[in-house]
Amino acid sequence: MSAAATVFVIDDDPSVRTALVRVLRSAGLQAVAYGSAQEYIEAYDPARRGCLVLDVAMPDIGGLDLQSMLRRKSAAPPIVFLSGHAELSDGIQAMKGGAVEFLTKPVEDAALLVAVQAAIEKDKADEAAREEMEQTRRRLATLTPRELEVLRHVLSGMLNKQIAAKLGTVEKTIKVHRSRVMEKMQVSSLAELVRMATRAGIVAAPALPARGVSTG
Amino acid sequence: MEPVLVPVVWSLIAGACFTLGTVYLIAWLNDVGEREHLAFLVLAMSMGALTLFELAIMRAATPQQAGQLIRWAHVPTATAVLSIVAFLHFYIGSRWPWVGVAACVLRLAALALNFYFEPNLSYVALTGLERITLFGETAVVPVGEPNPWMRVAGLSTVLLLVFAVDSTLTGLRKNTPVERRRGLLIGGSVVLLVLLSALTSALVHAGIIRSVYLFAGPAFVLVLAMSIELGADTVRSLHVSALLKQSETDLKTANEQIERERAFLRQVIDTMPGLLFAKDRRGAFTLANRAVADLYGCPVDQLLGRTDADLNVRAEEVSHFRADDLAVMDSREQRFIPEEQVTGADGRTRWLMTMKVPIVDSTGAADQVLGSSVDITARKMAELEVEQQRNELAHLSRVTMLSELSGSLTHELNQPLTAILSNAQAALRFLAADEPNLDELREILSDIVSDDRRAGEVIRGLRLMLKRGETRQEAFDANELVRDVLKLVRGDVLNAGVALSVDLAPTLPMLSGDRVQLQQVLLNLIVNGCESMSQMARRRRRLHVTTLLTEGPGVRVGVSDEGTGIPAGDLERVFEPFFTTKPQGLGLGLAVCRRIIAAHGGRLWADNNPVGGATFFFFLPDPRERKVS
Repeated sequence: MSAAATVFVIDDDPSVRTALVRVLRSAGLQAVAYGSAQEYIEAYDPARRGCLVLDVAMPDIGGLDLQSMLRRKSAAPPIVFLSGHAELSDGIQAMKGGAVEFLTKPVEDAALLVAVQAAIEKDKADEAAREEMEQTRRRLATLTPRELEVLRHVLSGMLNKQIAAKLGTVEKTIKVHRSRVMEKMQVSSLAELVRMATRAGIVAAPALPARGVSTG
Repeated sequence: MEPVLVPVVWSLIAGACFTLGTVYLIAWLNDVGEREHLAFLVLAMSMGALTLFELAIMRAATPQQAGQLIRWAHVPTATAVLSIVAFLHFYIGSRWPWVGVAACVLRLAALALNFYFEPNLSYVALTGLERITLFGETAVVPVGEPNPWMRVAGLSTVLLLVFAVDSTLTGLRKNTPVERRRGLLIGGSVVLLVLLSALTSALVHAGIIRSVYLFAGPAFVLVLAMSIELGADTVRSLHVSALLKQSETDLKTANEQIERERAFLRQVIDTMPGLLFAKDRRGAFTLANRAVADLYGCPVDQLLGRTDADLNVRAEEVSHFRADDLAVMDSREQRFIPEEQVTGADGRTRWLMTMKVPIVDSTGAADQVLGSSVDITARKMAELEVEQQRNELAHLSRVTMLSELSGSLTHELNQPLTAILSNAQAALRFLAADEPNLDELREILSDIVSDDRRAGEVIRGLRLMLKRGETRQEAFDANELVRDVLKLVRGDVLNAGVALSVDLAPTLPMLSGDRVQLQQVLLNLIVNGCESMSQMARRRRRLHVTTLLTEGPGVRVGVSDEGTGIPAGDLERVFEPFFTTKPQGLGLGLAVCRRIIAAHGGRLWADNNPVGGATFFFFLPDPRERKVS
């Protein structure tokens, strides 16, 4: 199981970040404070899950800069922005970049905690999705090339008979391959297999039938 | 030989005498007061009559006839004597009038005796007629025994002679040449006549010479002399009357000319678009043109004698006019009023530019004031509009400055406010826990306190933030700076009813700094000064701007008002941000000003004037000196 979520508070104003940390801690959250984006990047540990409470206006690397930097990383934490003045353009940019919330200072504790909670949930969901994909990929890696080929045909909706014809073998052989795939992918039904494959992004669904039709 | 010449000559003389007499009769009837005219006409008539009697005697047929004629000839003789006396007395004058009176009395007595004696006063008895030759012609003269009572007439003649001589001398002593000539001519003639007549009549009477009396000649000479003299008078009077007539004509022409000029002047002053008027010490109009009449909605003739107070409903305008009028009359100096208001009968208020000049009389006193005004309402309205636009612009720029300020203000204030809110809310949450961590709560509270202080410092540090703005350094002249700002605020100051005076140092070193900012400082000080006097009577609102070269070295600019001054304890506080006495003021003006001046290496301070009001000074150092030191 992953450790408890951490809230990373990044603000150049020490008293503000201390106060914010206190609010978060008072709600039972784990919070860490950084005085600048640079500090956070240096201490960045993808294993530590959680979310960011990020000040927009900071010297050197601003909040929005940090957001775009993090987006390039695989497991970017969700961000709750805080801003001194509610500049609409900043807000739009932040939301487009996937921010959970854009709050103005001074911020009400309730609003902050709701946003942080939502961000943590989102992080958890993201984490779960990443986890699932990772698992799927691992299972896919155990498949033989033949099994992988059968899987792709199955996912494209072809019947065993059709697949056998396609691969130049008998239906029985295909059946064996198919049950091996189900076993290795640890699924019990075709629907489950499709869902997993879709999440993992390995379904190139339109390509397979097209090929099938043209050859069939 | 039948006589021709003598009757003709004698008749001519008599005719001439009568003619002259008639002329003077007419003259006397025209003006009965002219007594010398009466005397002369009687004399002329008497002489004419005497001449005719003489002619008749010369042609007498019998001694009795001659005697009768001689008796009646005494009548014109007497009237002649009387008229001569009267004429001399009235025309020339005499020192001894009684001599003349005596001569007259004696002559009248002689006339009375003349009619008492037979045949007359001259002769006791006439014995015959003797033929003589006169101018080659025959004439008769009576022959008889002379009457001894004739001496009465002789004595009268002597007195007449004395009176005539005295009158002549009196005339010769007179001052004017005309009077002296008159004395000589008339008096002399009379003397000559009387002498001749007396001599001839005495000689004839005594029988020494055989001749007629020959009164005609001297009589004619006398009448001629007198008529010449009187004629000269007539000529003179004619001349005078001609002159009079001429002067009457001239006067009429002059009057017409004056009337024309008056009408033209009236037309000029009525046509001129400006207001023209004169008022006396009471304030009553003594002159007004149509523009004034139109303004007050009252005909010009009804305007005269009335005052502004009778015509203008705005008491404050009237009192201004009155004060200016009296000041001009008292000082006897003209006064220029660049802007003043007047409300007309239609209730509209106009702006006037007025010049008032004292009307000084010959004694040097000024009891009237002449005024001339031009309606500058249109220009003023345009100015006010520009003014309003400028105000709006100034307001806008203030708003802009404030909004710029508020950007940094919110940022700087937001941080502590955010910390305070979050800390407080965190504390509340910790308190809700079962066992609150008191150390942590204490820490939070002390953080709240320090953040609150920090917020206060942010506000107090606002003026420092202004320093962050870019400043441009350029060389400038402080006097020029003052003049530029005065140009800018002229309208404001005028509208505030403040009289502005300026006292600039003749030569000042060039200073270095941000002109616009320094202008803003001066503008601020001037506007503040005007506002500080807004509750005072208009007359007492005076603002004084000075520049001075001072030790430092540098330039000191002063803005003095005559308001209520600043409480001693507030002299320094007025420069603190958010210190204000104005209900709508933010209290940033002077703080910002001080910051600007300090940024220029100068100093801004306030002082109360000894006579009342406050002065704001700012000192700016001479940049050359700063480099040297």
